[in-house]
Amino acid sequence: MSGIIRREEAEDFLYLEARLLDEWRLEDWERLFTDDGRYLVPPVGIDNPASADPANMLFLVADDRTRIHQRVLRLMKKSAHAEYPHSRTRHCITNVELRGHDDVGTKVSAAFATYRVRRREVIAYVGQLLYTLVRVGGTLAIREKRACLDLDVLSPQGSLAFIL
Amino acid sequence: MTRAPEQRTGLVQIDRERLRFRVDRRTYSDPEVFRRERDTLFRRCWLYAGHSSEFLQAGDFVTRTIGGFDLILARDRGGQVGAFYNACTHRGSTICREARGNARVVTCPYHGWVFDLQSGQLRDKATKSGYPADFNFDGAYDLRRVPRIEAYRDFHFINYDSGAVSLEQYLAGAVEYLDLVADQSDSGLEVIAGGQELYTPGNWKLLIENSYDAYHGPTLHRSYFEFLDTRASNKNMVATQRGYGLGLGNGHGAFEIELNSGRPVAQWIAPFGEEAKPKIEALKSALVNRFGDARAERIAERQRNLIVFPNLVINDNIGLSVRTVYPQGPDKLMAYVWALGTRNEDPLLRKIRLDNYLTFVGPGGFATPDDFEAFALCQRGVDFTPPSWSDISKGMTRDEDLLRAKADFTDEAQMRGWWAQWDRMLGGAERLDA
Repeated sequence: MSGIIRREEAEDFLYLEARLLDEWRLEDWERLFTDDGRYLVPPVGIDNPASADPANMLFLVADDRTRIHQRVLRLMKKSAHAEYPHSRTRHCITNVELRGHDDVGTKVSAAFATYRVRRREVIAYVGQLLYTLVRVGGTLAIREKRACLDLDVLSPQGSLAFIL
Repeated sequence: MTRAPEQRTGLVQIDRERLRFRVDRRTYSDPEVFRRERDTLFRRCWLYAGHSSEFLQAGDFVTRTIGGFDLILARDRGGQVGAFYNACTHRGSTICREARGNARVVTCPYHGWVFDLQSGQLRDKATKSGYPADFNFDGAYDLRRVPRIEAYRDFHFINYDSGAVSLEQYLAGAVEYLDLVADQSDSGLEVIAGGQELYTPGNWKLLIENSYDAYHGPTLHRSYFEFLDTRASNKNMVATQRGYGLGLGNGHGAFEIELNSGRPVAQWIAPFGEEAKPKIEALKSALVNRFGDARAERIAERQRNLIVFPNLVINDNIGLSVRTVYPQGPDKLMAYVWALGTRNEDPLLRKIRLDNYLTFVGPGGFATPDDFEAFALCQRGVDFTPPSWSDISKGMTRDEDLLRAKADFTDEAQMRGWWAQWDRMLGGAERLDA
């Protein structure tokens, strides 16, 4: 890990990530991850989403780098029916805080409200984002992104077709 | 062989001459049909309520809504699982507000009435003043019990009809498939943490049909199969499928297929990794020792989707999932979805199981969101085009016994069995015959 990550820097990086997702530039989004990067969405309605482990609990999403790539490939196809045509989304990020760093990377937490607009409906996905960020060759990268939804049940969302 | 009386409600049209089996699309949209389903199917059928592993110790409880009623399911000191309505006998307040836990008693938040969670008995009323000493002499203020609760192979079902046939009689041919699922482990199955409760647009029957419809896989889930193909060294997975679908009596049905997409019990494929290979092979040989080659082969290598009428779905494919589905009005459904694994499962195999599972069946997976999309599109088509019929004829034969028909797995024999039973029950059939 070379260099301390400042909050403003982390914030700018998260805003960039949010914009890439809202613009459906998923190949560019995918490149924000390290080669060992993970994208996780723990189950809703549990007490400890921040520490929950996908090896012994059923997550909504537990993608390693290979599956992040597969998810992106799929979502860009017309045959990903749940996202064809692509819904409009707005990833809003706030309450960004540095939460310390260790030899894995810098921990960053943020609150999020992501709105998905599809077929006459606006549905909100609200929760906390927990990142492990690293600096790779002068730029930031995501080693882990964990989106903890503040939901007790999947209502009215039903499913999670897009990327939080 | 007895044949079910046909065409009772007028909503299911069976034309054996032209080989057309059609369902009036009002069945997905009409509030009157919704009410009749609630008052017949969900009041007289056995409904899946929970798995033994969710209440292992005395005092363990879960709360959930089954067939429109809030229930508390709790294990008592004698090992029996009881089902109570989750409402105080005083003024009706919900008494138990946790989704799960372990408790001796449950206290109503409103006036402090205390109930024994194992016997349901009223223990205390915060104050005794103003009530006669023998106020509850007849147990009228004990928690109300659901009339029937019975289990088969750790799967617990409730029934709101005290006169219902026994669970095992009701299950009819479905026991064969429940056995194939339960036999995967000699130490039992368990529900894995992280089960979901979800709500999504669409009539509940759309999810039922979808659950044992193998026909839609290659089209609706093309993107998922393309993902599988990349994992299995660019083999065309769809083309390798073989199997059959069949009715199992009383509206139950299943399909069973051969598909080499890997199973923790017990079909190893290369993407699982070399480390998993001996572990999975050991599970397979244990099955051979217990059941012999043929049955072990069937348990380990085949995939199966089972529907227990009206609303229990067990998908035993790349993972093991159990779902129940309920209507929330004509155009919205609610489902409980649980992943099951074998008890004391090797951590690596558990990880593979969960990985497999959430990639496909999970609400954030590569397939389920597209199923939900199909329900929303079907519901839109039903609600916003003139009245019409849905077709369920695929693979129909002139003389098939609708409740027990068998055909290719991509046909719809198993679905016709479900609809034939639906038609019988909504049409007023009083009792079930297997």
